[in-house]
This record gives sequence, structure tokens and C-alpha cells, in this order.
Amino acid sequence: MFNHDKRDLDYALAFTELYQSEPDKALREAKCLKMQVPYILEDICEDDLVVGYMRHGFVGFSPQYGGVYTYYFHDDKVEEVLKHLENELSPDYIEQVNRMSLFWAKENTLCKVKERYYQKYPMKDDIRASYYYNACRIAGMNVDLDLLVHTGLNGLKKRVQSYRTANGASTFYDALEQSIDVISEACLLYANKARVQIRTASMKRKAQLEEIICTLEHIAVEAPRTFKEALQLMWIYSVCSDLMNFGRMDHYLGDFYARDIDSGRLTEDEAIDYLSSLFRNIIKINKIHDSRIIIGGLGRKDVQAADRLALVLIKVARLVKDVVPQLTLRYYDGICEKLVDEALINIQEGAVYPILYSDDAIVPSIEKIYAVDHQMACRWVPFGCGEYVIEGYGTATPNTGAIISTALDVVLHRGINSFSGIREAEDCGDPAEFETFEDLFRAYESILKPVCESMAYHEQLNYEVAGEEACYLHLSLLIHDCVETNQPIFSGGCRFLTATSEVFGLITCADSLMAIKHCVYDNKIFTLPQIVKMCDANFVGYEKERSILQGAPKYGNDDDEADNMAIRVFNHIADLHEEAGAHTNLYRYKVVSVNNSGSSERGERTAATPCGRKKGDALSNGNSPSLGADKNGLTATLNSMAKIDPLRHVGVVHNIRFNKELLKNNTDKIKMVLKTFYENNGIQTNLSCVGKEDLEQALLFPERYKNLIVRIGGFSARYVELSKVIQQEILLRTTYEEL
Amino acid sequence: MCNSEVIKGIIFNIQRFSLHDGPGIRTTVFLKGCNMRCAWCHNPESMRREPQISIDYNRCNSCGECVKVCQAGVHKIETEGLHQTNIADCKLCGACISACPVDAISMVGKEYTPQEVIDVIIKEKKYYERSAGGVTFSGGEPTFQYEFLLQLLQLAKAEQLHICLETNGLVSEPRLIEISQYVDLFLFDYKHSEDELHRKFTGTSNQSILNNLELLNRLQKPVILRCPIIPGINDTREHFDAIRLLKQKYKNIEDVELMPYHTVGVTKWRNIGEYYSLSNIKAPQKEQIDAWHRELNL
Repeated sequence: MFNHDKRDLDYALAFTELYQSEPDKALREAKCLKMQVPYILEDICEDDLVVGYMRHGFVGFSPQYGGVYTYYFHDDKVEEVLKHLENELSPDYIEQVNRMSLFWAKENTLCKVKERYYQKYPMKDDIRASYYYNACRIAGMNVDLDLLVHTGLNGLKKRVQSYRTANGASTFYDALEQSIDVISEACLLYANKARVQIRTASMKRKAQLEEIICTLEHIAVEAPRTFKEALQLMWIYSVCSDLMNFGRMDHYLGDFYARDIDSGRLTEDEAIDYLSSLFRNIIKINKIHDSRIIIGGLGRKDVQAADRLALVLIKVARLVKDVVPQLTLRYYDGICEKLVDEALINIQEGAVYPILYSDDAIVPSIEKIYAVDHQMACRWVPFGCGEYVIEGYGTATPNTGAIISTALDVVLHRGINSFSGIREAEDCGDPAEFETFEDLFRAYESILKPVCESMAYHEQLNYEVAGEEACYLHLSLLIHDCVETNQPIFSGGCRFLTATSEVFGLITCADSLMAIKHCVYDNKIFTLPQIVKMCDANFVGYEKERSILQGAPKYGNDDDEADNMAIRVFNHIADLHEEAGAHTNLYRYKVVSVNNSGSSERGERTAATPCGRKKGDALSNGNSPSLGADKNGLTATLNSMAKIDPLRHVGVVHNIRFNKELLKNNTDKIKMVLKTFYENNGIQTNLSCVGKEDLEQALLFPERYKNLIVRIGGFSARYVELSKVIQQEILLRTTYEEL
Repeated sequence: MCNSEVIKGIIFNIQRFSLHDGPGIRTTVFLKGCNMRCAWCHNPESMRREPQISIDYNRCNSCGECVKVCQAGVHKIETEGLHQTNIADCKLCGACISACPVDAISMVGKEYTPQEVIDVIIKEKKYYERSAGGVTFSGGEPTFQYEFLLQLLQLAKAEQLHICLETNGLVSEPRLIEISQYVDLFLFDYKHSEDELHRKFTGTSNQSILNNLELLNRLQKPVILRCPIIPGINDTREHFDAIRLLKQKYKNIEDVELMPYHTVGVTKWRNIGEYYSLSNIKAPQKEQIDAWHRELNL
């Protein structure tokens, strides 16, 4: 347990010593996990029915959230504690801690990636680009939880042993078995914690704790028999492995649920209580950009049982109305109508979940993008903000991104970011000399192409170095074909080692290029330098000119000219990524347009853009139109959205907000509109039903609107807790109303 | 069809994702021009067939840019900043629209060929098919641009769209017979049952309208009767009785929709330089509307 005192330093020193003592990376990781897991587990809370919560230390092993990436070390936090305890610690001890810090300064995995990256792409002293980024993490893992809950820990061990017999012994197999023991021990540790609590518990709680103990003791060894056991095993595994996305829950728990309900072992109310407890745990972790639970969709083994559980999950999302988990419904033609009806009731009642995705559009795309059969494609799930990954078989960590609206600004200012005044690229030509629109587009491409190459390489290194340093044992247990082929996940075990890159400012950029093409090259209303001047002045003194730029065709109105520009810009950035990915060992390197609050935050640091957007205003979000630019009704906007080729990306988001009356009075018609969209190339919708008046009131009286939840592209949040610019962006979004 | 035969029409709005002008999801096409002058009209900019300018006085900042560019002397800014207009003299050159820095001036009405209208409509075809919706031609009075409408109807039928026609019923019998072969559902206005008052508030008699309703019954064309209810003008027991009787008499009337008076259109009268005579009438509250429905008793 994390203590905020010397014990944490003691732990860090012990962890470091253990790490240094074992040269074999598989065994080292198993030993580290054995030390780490009991340390990071926190106590059972008063009303927990599903137990398990963890908090990482200063040093440790984690895919992402514990400490950024693989083996991490938080030197700033160590410094802080050191300073705080200065007078209590012996000089020898302090020296020991300092040596540890020096060791990790070079040994932490993030640092190893950076070193390797800069060897190939050295930093340039005079250029600091902000229109792309690289990060390190193993995000959004979706493992085969169906295998976990139907095999159990002992079953998994036997599985490892049988593959060892077939493939030959290895320290990887040894370490995998040890990593299973770590989860078993976590179960027993919590059973003991429950036993301690039982002494002082109320009668009601005592009964609950007794059940928790039985559950934990059973799943520590055997495969789950009941819904509650399966749910607890899924959760304890997630806690031990830092899993933050919980996959197709109706698929892997549906049979347990249906069996227990039908045999009278479980009531729906009990299931709701247990799932609410799970939801509370997820809320406590507070990873608002992750925490997906998927329901619905093609390829579930027992559709009826899965649907029954899915309906309960929708109900729980309505009861525990919060920003996580991101309950996601995969729609398909022929889906149980009640799922869609209940989903719309949630939206009408102010919940933002479930988010709806279309299997009709996505499954065939996955088949082509991944070159897999239908059955495999049905295993797709959106994680985090909405990147597709093949559950149990793939990765898709989104560690890179391109802010293409900023790239355009840099091009229009000969390599300078006009907001910061910093040089971000070499001079790519004088806008006055771009004689055709294609000249401009070539300049734009010239600064994006090389950065896409460097980003692809960075993504490759992210996996490569992780694989050199660790076996990611807990993930490798449930990702095919690691156990089957005796290869850890990042050393050849993962079948679809994919990476994704996030595009920001897509529509801001496309609408800006459209405005330039329309006003400069097609109709000769302004020259390009004139437009640059207007943007530099933030349109002050150029109000009429701004209105002309705003009047140029805009994406989101089913206007082919504007939509084709969006398609061109989208395909172009997708091409650059795919071409760059082809030079790496990644299975695929694809773009996503699934922005979270980043589109607003980056907008705060972006100068005025030729589409008419003012300096500091939010950028467009995902594949949604520029703020207020969609003026042709919901169906026209959906038509524009459906024009983007689903083969060119692995995730996009569309924000659709209805006025409450519209949804209430026309539920059937709205349902028809959405179904038509999903069945005709429409990928996804973030539906919400928060009235503009509610948002305005919330700004005036935040204390009364603490529970007002809004959806922002790839995640949800409490409206009153958001920054001003994001609040403003949400307020200005189009609300579809009754006419 | 060679180009010289293409009839162009004037449209003042094409509203997609239309939910209240017939069944399912629809696109409503508003044809400009009307043969009635209803005092309560909420689309007064639809009365004249020709395009016309409209000035949003809430946006106007009285800067006078429009005065400078107007050759016809339509615009005038008074000493207190009041923007006065003489729209009758407007030559529709559009100079004031371009000059206005706050986009307060707009042109109502745009010329389309029938095919151009259909091209917009069919973009939503999949939504119509899924929701049993289609296209609604409205106005103004859509039959006022008869030849244009006829071509629209023919093209829409060729696209196998479900067609609604919203009409005030003031159209000659042969024309109604001709268009009715293309129309699947008439949204037929019924404004006042007393001829005298009908004349007073719409400028025309209700006699031929009633005859046409009867004709549609004979032709067995489905009708939804749409009745604007204006407080103090037609919210009378006699009128509700008359509506009920029509519904009982004509089997082709599938439904009756009461259209309670609202004030959304009031500012539009001023925007196009016209006087609104019913400014003293208030929009009814929900209780009042419920009472009307009870009175209608259908």
C-alpha cells in the first residue's frame, strides 16, 4: 500500500535491488510483479461488492497509467519525499536513494526509447514543432477476457504447461506461471482483508464479506462458476495488470448471468448492485479517456444471454450516471430493438452512454483493413477515445498525433507558428507565390510527410523497446498467440501489432483549405496574403471578410465541394501515415479522428484560421463539423459524415446533440435516422440530449449543475469542471431542434 | 427535353430533416408565391413570387453601408439610426447584401430548375425509405408556380418518392385533377368556415376550396386537414363543428391537425417591409390548445 512516507522509499529501493538482481527479463518481470502487486493493492471499501483497487508507487512496472510506460521511475516524487524526510534519513540512506535515482535515470524504459529515437531523428536547435507529437505507452489493451473467465487461473496455468510441453521450456513460460500466482495471491490477500473487516462489520455487511471471501478463495484457484465469481476474476486481473478497457462484457459474462438468473441463484437487482460496485471502482480510478465496456455487436456466442446482460448494463449506466465507464453499444441490422430503445432512453434522461457504433459499417472495414475473416473482424472493439483494436489479438496504442490545422498555419507563415512565433518547420515558400491551390497543398504536404515518417518510427520503437525490456506477462497470458508460440506480446507474440495516430483539427483544416480555394483560387475574392493578414489580425477590422470566409462551403452540410475537401484532407493524412507505417515492422499504422478535450485545448494555442475561426477558439472535434457550420439539418450532417471512407481510418467520432423535446417527441423518427446512418457507412455517434439552456444555466450556477455530464469527442466529463474554452465549445455546438 | 423548355421556379427554402410535414422523415420544399393573403401568415416572405430582400433589424447596426451602394435609394438611415426602407423600389441587384458588414440583409428566393431541386431531395432518399417519409412541396402556395410544380411532381414520382402537397386548396379543378395523380397525400389547409370572414382574413372565398376538398374525396386522394387556429378569429364553436363535420363527411380525410397560432413569423413582416395587422394577438398557452382539441372532439 502506498504510504506517503519512508516506507515508500524502502519499497523503491527493494524493488530496484530486485530488478538489478535478475538478468532474465521474463523472470525479472515475474519477480517484480510478485513484489509490486501486493504493495499497490489498496483496502476494501465499505460498500464494495467487487473488490480491488490499486495505486502505483514511485517505481514499478506498468503499461501506461502506473507510471507512463513499462519500467518507470518518478524522480520528481522521490525528490519530494526525500526533501520532506531530509532530517529523518541517514546520509547513507540518502546516498542509496540518490544512487537509485541515477540508475533509473538511464534505465527507465521511456528514456531508452528517446535515446534510440534521437539517434535517427536528432533534435534541431532552432526548430520546435508543435503540430505533431510522440509519446510512449502501451494503451488500450483489450485482452481475451472470455478465455480468462471461462478457464480460470488454474486453467490458464494448465494451458501454459500444455504449450510448454508442445513448444519446449522457456523462462517465459516459467514467468507466465509465476504471474498467474501473483493474481491468485492477490485474491487471497483480499480474502484476508475481508476476514479482518468481518470482525467489525454489520450483519448485512458480514454476509456480503463472507460471500466475497468465498468468491475470492474459489477464483484464486478454480474457474468461476457464477456471474459474481466471473465478474470478480475479471476485475482482480484488471487491477493486477493495469487493464483499463473491459471488453465485450455481455459476450464473456452473458452466459454466467443468464444461467444464474434462470436457476434463481441471482436476481436482476443483485446483478445491478454488483455491476454498480464495478462501475464505482472504475469511477474511482478516474481514467476518463479509457474504461470502455462494450455490449452488442456481431459475433457474440450466446446472443440472447448477452442481450439480457447488455440490457442490465444499460440500466446501470442510467442509474450510476457518471463520466465512466464508457458503455458502448455496437449496433447492427437485426439487433434486439430493446437495446436501441433503452439506449435512447438513457440519452433522453441525460446520460451520455451508451455510445453507439455501427458493426454494419465497421466489421466489413476491419476485414479489409486487417485482412482478416468475418469472425476475426467481429472481435473489434473501440478502446479509449475510440481506436479499433481486435480484442485478444491486437494492439493499437495511439501514441502519436498530427495537428493539421496548426500545420496549415505553419505553412501559411513560412515555417513559423503564428500563435507562438516559434519556428516549427523550414521555410516552405511565400504564400504570395502559390499560384495554384495545388502549390499550397504541396507545401502543406512537404511539412507533414517527414513528421509522419518519424512518428511511425517512434511507434515501432515504443513496442520494440517494450519487448526488449519486458514480456508483459499478464497481457501475454490473454493475447494470442503469445502462449501458443512461446513469444511475449512485443517479441512476436501479438498477431496484429498495430499503432494509431490521432488527427487533430481535421475539419478546421479542411474548411480552411476550402475557404482559401473558394475565395482565392476559384472566385478571386481575396489573395492568399490577404487572408493570412486577416487571420494575423484575428479578423479585427475584417469582419465582413470573415463573414465571406465563413460563407464559403463548409463540411457538414452534404455539400459535395466542402465534403470532398474534407475527404481529400483526411485521405491525404491517412496516406502519409500508411506509407510511413509500411517502412516499419508495425502490422498497420492508421489514423484515427477521435479527439477528446485536446481539440479545445489545442485550439487555445492556435491562431485564427482561414475558415473564419478566431484565435483561441476550439478546433473542430473528430469528424464533427466546425462549430456552428452545419446548417442543413441532421440528415445532411450525417450524410457528410458518412462520406469519409471507413477503410482509411480505425476510429472516428461524431457528436450529435438533440434538443430534449426533439428526441422525446420523435423517438421513432430519430431511431430511423440513426439506423439509416449506421447501415449506410455511418461509423459512430456520441449522442447527447443536454439543452443549450442547461449549459447556459450551468455556467451561471455551476453549483446546481454538478452532475451535468457532457460528451467531448472521445470522453465524457462534468460540464462545470471543464475549462472555459471547452465549455464554450460545447455550448456552441449545434443542437438539433424541432422545427 | 431541350434546355429552352426547362421551366425555372423560385424556391425560398429547402428544409431537410423535416419531421412535421407529413409522415416519416421528409424534405420540405417551399415554393415562393401565394394566391392568398392570410393575415396571420407566418411565412409572409413567401407571398410574392419574385425574389425579394429581407432585413434583419435585430442584426442591423445602422452603419449605412447599404445606403452607399444602393442605386435605387431603397435604404435610408434616419438621424436616430433607424433603418428605413422602400423595398418596392428594390431592383434586386444584391449590392446591399454584399456591403452589409453584419449580414443583416438577405435575399429570399432563389431560382432553381426542377432537376436541381430533385438533386437535393434525393440526397436523403435512404432516410425516406427507412422511415416511410418522402418529399413535401409547400409554399407559399405550391400550385401558384403550377408548371414548375408539375415538373417537380413528375420527377419526384419518377424517383418513386412519397409525395405530400401542402396546399391552401385554391387551385382550378383541372389542375388539381392533374397534380393529384402524382400526390400521395394532401396537407390541405382549412382556414375559416364562414365565407365572409374567410374573405376578410385571406382575401378569397372558401367556396372553391370546399369544392376542391370534395373533389379530392371523389378522387379518393388521402388528405390531412390542417387548420390554423387563430385566437379571436376562428377559434369558434361553429368552426370546430364545421371541421368535425368535414372529417365525418369525407372518408379521405385521414386526420385533422390543429395548427395553433404562433408569433414566430411576426418579425418577418417588418423585415420585408410589410405591416402586420394582428400584432395584438398572443400565442395561445398549452391549456388553451388542449381546450381546442377537446372542443374539436375527434
